[in-house]
Amino acid sequence: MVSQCNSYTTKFQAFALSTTLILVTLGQKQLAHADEFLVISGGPALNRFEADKQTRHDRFWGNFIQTAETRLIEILKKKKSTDVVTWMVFRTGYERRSQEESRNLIAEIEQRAAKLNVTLKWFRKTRELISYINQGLDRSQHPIKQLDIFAHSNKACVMFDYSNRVDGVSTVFLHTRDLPLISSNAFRKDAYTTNWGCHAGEYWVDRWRQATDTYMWGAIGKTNYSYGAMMPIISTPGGRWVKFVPSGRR
Amino acid sequence: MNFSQWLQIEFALTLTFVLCGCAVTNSSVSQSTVSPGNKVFTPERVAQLNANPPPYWDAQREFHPVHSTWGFIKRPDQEWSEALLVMLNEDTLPAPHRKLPRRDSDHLQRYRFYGYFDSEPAYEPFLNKLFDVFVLTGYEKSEVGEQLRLVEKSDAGITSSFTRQTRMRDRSTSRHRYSVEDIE
Repeated sequence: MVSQCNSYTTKFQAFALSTTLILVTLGQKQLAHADEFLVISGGPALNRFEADKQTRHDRFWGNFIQTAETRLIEILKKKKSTDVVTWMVFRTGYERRSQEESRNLIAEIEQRAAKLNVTLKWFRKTRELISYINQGLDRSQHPIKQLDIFAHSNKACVMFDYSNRVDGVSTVFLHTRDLPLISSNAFRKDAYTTNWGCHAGEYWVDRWRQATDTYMWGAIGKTNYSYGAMMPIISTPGGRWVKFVPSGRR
Repeated sequence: MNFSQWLQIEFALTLTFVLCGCAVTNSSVSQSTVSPGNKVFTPERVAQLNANPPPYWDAQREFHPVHSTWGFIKRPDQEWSEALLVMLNEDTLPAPHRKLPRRDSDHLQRYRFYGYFDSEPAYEPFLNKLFDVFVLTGYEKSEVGEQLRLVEKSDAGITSSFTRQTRMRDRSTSRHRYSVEDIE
């Protein structure tokens, strides 16, 4: 009888131990889990390349910075306390524009990020950006919940560098052909992603969905960043925001 | 402790390791790198262009009102039909037209160029194409040449709507071999 009682006690202890281990593990996972809000800013063109053009880009150096800040403020208001907010900025573009503006734009952006209390990450190459998206954080614990891209764009390509290193072209860009390099595991299935650049709704959004299994909003037409701290608006008559390329434009 | 007790503990520990292990497994995404936008633009190709550099390069400006291509460049012993359509990196020296009243002031002007090819290509958004980039370190003015060709239009249909106008303008010219390829 005593021996049977001991047996039951040991079984109960083992059960309790296993249950505790499972609950502790699940609890740790729950505590560790936090979504990431990621905002990406491309760089500005140089005035020396743009000054004599009819369609001049980036008179103001901070088009992609101010709009990103506005978005970050929105995110900070709605995010959970455990969520991570990261701001990735194309450094080379601002270094070169700093020389032209005779002011330290790098320090200025760092100050703005510090003021918002968000994590600032600089990048120089597209592979650095993709690497961060894929494995910058443990994506099983920190999937990307929201992504916003502020940069020059056409319907097939986001250009982090535009008319900055070479007049009128891009040397650092993310083309739709490279989107399969982005892991769909990096995103929550219900991730809210937006490309705020021009024409993204005419091709890019479909390719993004194919590559990442998440929907992305993009513009039919051009987007205008010249309203200061306001979010970009569509400047093309008849333009609109879409997450599927309309059938007539495929 | 009997076998069933060991089994229970074993089960608990196994479950724990499985749950802990998920994070490691899922996070180990393979290292991604961005492939060159175009098979033509490999480091080997640029090395080949820069190998045995000629004393100078023959260059001819061909201004285009929409595209950002600078013009053509070739070795002195090559035919103009073999010339490459290039972009100019002006970090070391501004392009010759910067000293002139307008961008098209030196249209069809020929030069002797000094410099080398950059290791990375440039993406031209209106054409949706990659181009070689020539880093200009010096130049001398030469004679005026004849029109070689306008820029090849993009057939991919994924450039901006602005390009469609350009494409119509360019329809007449396709007689030369191109140094560029569609990025898609």
